[in-house]
Amino acid sequence: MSEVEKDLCNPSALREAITEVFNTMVFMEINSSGPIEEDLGDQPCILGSVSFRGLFDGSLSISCSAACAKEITMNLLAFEDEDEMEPSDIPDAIGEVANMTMGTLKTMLYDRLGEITVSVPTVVSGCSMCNALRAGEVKLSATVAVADQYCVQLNLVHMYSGGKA
Amino acid sequence: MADTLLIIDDSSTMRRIVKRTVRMSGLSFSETFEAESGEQGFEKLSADAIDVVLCDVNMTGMSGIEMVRKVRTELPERKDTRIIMVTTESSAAFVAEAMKAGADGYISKPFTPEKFTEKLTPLL
Repeated sequence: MSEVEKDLCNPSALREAITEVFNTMVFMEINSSGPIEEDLGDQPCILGSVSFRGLFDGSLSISCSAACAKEITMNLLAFEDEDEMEPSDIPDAIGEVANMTMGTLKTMLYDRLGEITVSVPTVVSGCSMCNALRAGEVKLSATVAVADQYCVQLNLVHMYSGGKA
Repeated sequence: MADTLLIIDDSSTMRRIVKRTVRMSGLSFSETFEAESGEQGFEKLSADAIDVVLCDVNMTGMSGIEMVRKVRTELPERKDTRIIMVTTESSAAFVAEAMKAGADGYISKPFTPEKFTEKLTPLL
């Protein structure tokens, strides 16, 4: 396994990236080592993802419960009251968190990963969502606790492409 | 201190975050405008003289880099407008491309109010 593949299979890089985003812009504490109380189970979740192309092709997604997504949105947009929120704010906020997490990860791995192109974020909601892996794809998952209350799941799916378009 | 600010981003959420961060940075503008695409941003710049532009890079339709290039080649009367890219991109290749297109600087996401102060103050 190459050094960059080791990086892409290292959950601590994912945790570090999302921690930086939350510390800098969401102002919610991330705990990546303690117990996580929230069980996403079959409850409705919001999933924000970005795809990327380069030496490796793949996608990064973050998913969390609707309640967690609302808290993230309130913090990211500095809302004091839920009434200030518009219906599109939550998907927009989760998409931006996915986008910024990918950007942070990309910067962290730039020396080994080189140039990669990242898509605009997409956001979906639903229950029991999972990645359908294609042949050759590898999936790395990491879970972090947010504000000691919520669970945020990160999934990085990637496949070596050699940088072919 | 500059007078007018244009924030170009296809995400209304990010436009609000940028606006809030500018406010928190202590920088003040007499008017702040918003555009939700590179095309709309170019139209605004065609119509009005803007002092500072904060422009997203990765947008559907015209990208931020394409917009800067178009402004610099087609709107010579806007040569004094300072255009700062706000982006998750921060590689040397991106910075070189942005500067070659005519950008005056970049702010990488995630960002803090302090980063806005640091990057914008020398340009104002």
